[in-house]
Amino acid sequence: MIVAIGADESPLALNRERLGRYPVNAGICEPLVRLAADFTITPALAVRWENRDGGAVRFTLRHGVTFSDGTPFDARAVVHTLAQSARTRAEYSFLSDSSAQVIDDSTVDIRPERVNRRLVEQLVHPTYGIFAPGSDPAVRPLCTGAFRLAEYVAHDHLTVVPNARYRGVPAKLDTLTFRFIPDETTRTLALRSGEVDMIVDVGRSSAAALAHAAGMRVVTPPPGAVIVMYMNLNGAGRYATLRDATLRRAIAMAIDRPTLVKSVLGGGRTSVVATVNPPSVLGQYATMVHGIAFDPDGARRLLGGRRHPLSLIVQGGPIDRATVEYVQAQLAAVGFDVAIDQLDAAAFETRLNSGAFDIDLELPNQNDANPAFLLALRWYSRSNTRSAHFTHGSARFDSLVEVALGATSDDDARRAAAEAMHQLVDVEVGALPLAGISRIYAMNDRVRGFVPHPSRLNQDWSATWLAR
Amino acid sequence: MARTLGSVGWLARRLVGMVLVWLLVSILSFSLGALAPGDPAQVMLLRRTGDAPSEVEVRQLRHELGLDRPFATRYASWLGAAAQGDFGRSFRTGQPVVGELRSRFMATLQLAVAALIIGLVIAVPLAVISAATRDTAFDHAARLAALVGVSMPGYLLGYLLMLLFAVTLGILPVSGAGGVRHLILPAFALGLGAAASVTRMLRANLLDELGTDYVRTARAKGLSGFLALIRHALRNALNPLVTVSALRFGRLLGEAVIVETVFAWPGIGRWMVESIYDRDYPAIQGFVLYIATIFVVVNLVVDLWYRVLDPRVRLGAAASSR
Repeated sequence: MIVAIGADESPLALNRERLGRYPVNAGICEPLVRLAADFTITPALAVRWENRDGGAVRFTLRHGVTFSDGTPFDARAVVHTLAQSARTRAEYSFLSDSSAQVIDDSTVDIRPERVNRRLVEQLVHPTYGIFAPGSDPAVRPLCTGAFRLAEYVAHDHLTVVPNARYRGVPAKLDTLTFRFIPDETTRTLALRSGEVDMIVDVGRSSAAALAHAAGMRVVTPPPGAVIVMYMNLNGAGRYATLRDATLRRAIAMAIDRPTLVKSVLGGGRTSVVATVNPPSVLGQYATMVHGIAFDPDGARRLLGGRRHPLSLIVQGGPIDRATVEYVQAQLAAVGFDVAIDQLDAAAFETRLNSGAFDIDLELPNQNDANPAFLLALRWYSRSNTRSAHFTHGSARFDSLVEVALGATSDDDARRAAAEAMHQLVDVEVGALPLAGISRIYAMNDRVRGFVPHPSRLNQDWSATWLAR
Repeated sequence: MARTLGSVGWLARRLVGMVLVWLLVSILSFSLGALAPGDPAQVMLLRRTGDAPSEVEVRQLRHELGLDRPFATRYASWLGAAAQGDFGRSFRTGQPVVGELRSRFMATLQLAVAALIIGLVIAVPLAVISAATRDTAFDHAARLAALVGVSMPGYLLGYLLMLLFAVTLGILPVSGAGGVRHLILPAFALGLGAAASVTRMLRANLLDELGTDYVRTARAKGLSGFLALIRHALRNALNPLVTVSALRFGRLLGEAVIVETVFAWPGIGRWMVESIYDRDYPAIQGFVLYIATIFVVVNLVVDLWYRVLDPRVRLGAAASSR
């Protein structure tokens, strides 16, 4: 089966050691724990885990697992992989190259440099997929997943075949090839020509056409990302407008989100959400975040007839122009004159990190089970990202985030994260979630057994097969 | 003797000019890189992990990449290395830029040469027949086709070709690289635009030549109109074609950026787009100098070729050097 993806290969060029894991998770490597479709954690190479004194987490590993070359999997592989991951990046997991320690062949203790109660939820990310010590992950990652690497041709394709030594139900495909086709229209034509069997990241207009085409099917998971309007709460000079909470509330009241979802974003699995990450990440507590109702007259009253200029920055690509212009038109209707700057990634980051914006429109994906990840990254005053200087919320919000980060149970973490999000969205109006967005897949009718995962990095391909 | 000295002087002036152009381009590309908004360290860290990097990480990487050194220092050390053929290492991949340029450029060169051949194979006969049958239905159709070809963007033509030959007829692949079959559609998407502009130019030149005295004399001596066109008018009309083809070749390298992205062709254009997005300065500077060098060298070769083809150019240069 051939899947055409538009994935940017840059992350792989920058960090070849993540071959087959990021940005394309080809099912070669398994992490200790896996992210279920409802954003809960399920066992993978670890069968259970428990918090220990001093902030450590003890993982009990699965027995009888081998790497694709037949080498047995044990605790040393976990220590080796996490040490290597820590050398690449440890800012948010707080892992160092000595954080993981072998207790015995099937037991590992992981103790981050700082207490990190959300560690297990972070370890579902495919970049923590375990590979065999001694193997070179940049060339031939030896792992335990349902597939093993057959070939990688840079800028063209990555092919995997079933791992005959996989511990679970064997993969049903003979080969699975991910072809890198950056242009969306070309991907669509490749599907229509039969050159590929499935395409990923289908645009909304193409999806509508493909859904009605003979022999084609369009599939979407529940939302795995949310379009969020970040507001500059602490800007200076010409970017100090939204320090005023009244203006922020007027913005939130000005945008008709149900119409945005229905008419601009095309409905389907796209949905109105009140949370800044997919609601299922918060479980039952998602309802604690209400969102601010559409009330343009109320917004006008709050503005008192005055007009305010605003600068909106957005990256070209993830969020389409129609959505940005819809936001601009809605805000204009109540009294905000919005200048849009559509920027490439580098220029966008510069503006964001220098606070040169009033509104920043982004589409962050949720790829782990940590309900407080985005809150801690973007609105927490102690976040180590530069942009948080401008977007961070109040001390009350900070304390709620800290409760969520320090909660020892998943349930407590979700509740605390929901409280923090309520504070951010409903009380301080520091962020405005616009719509929950699903990744769109289109495929020919020979593709069977495919169940889309809301997280773009946690798709499982092992149950997919191709009818003859 | 005087003519030889004139030629040597002309060549020396051109070579000095080449070096000056090269230096100017290097300063411009380096300055634009420094002035453009965006921090390569920030983007690289973001792309590696998908998460916003911390300030400490960004600072550390800026130091590793030498981005915290003054502009003049960076330029001087880069220029010294570039003069020896070393464009440094790509920020993104850590690989030598020269190696990446070479491997990617071959794919683009393959595409551009194929496109140019397609362009000429279509344009020359079409222009000749069009000129020979001036103001007939064929001529009007050819002119209309050329106008459409000149006006249509390469990417749109690419999609139409994919739709016809890959989706409807199913005889050619939509995208990718891997053999002659993969080359056909992108080469046509790129080459048809060249064919259109060359057709228009060559047809106009042929019509000019057909109105000259020497063609009238040839006709008076009993040569048919078609033979007069082929044997006399075409030979003279081909001279400007050399210049246009060479300049067109340079443009094809530039237009390949879009066509390569549409067809997922692993050439230098796609690599350049990715490098610009990632602010991979060594790669961008290497690319700009590489392309500038090709342009300058191609122009020099064309001028030399012109001197061989057309004695008036040679004699004119000699006269002016006296």
